[in-house]
Amino acid sequence: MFIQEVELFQGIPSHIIDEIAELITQESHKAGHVLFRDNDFADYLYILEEGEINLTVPGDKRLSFPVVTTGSVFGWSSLVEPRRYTAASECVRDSKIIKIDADRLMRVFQTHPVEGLTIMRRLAGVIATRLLKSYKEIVVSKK
Amino acid sequence: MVSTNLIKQYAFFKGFSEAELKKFEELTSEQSFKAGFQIWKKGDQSKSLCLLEEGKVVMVMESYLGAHRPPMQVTVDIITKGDVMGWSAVVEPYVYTLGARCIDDTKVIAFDAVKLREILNADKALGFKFMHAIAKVIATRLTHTEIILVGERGLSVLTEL
Repeated sequence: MFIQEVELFQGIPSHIIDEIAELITQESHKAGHVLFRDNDFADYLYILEEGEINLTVPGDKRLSFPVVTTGSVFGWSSLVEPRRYTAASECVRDSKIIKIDADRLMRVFQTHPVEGLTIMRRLAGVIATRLLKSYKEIVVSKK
Repeated sequence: MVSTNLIKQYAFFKGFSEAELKKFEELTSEQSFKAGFQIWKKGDQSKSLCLLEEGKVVMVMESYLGAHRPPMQVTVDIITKGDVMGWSAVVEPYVYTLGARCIDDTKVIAFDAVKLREILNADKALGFKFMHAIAKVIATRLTHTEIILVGERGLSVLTEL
């Protein structure tokens, strides 16, 4: 999978993609592996390459968000203060993921603010989508 | 027009320089609404991003109850003093995703959405900084919402106004 195929990075010039590619680590994990836990310091942005990940918000009532689509971005808390993951992340099946060093990614954005703005806009959209899902959960719970 | 001295008191603008704040000054206005007034509906084109100065606003989502019955308005979030609301002003497709209704007499600092987007497009470094702050606003609201959803007290939090 090429990083420029990920929706978040589509249309970003190749020389900046090359800079981002240097920050990437590809990993394979068995089902059951925990990538991060709720409230861990958020140091990496993750992209699903293959498999299935479950994001779970701990509490009296469990709240889950499956990540199943190749190219899906998760772990965005790494780019937003207070930089703590808001959910735990566990591989449901054997999975391949890409993780990006968030500190260095932010420095790339600051060096290239045109692209930084584009990506930050998309990221806001990603978080907003999950927020709307949570709002819909509230509506369903109240019915 | 609202002075930068007032704007910079809000947590949202922490880290913005005086020169950056000055760019926003011209697109701001203070607006007041009576309790009960609906500021916008879901699906409205986004006209402004607001900082809440006084009062309280509930964000509502409509719940379809079936044919021949009016939809029920469900409160999904509460905006209080110091909060930002109307982030759809800078997130595509620039359409409000929820309704906003005042439950107290309310005063806001409103940033004109079209002019705001123009400023963010013209100065990309400022745009990046602003969108980073917006991402934090949305993320904080998400965390709050998820805590409500999984918490022992659950949705009662949203009815204890």
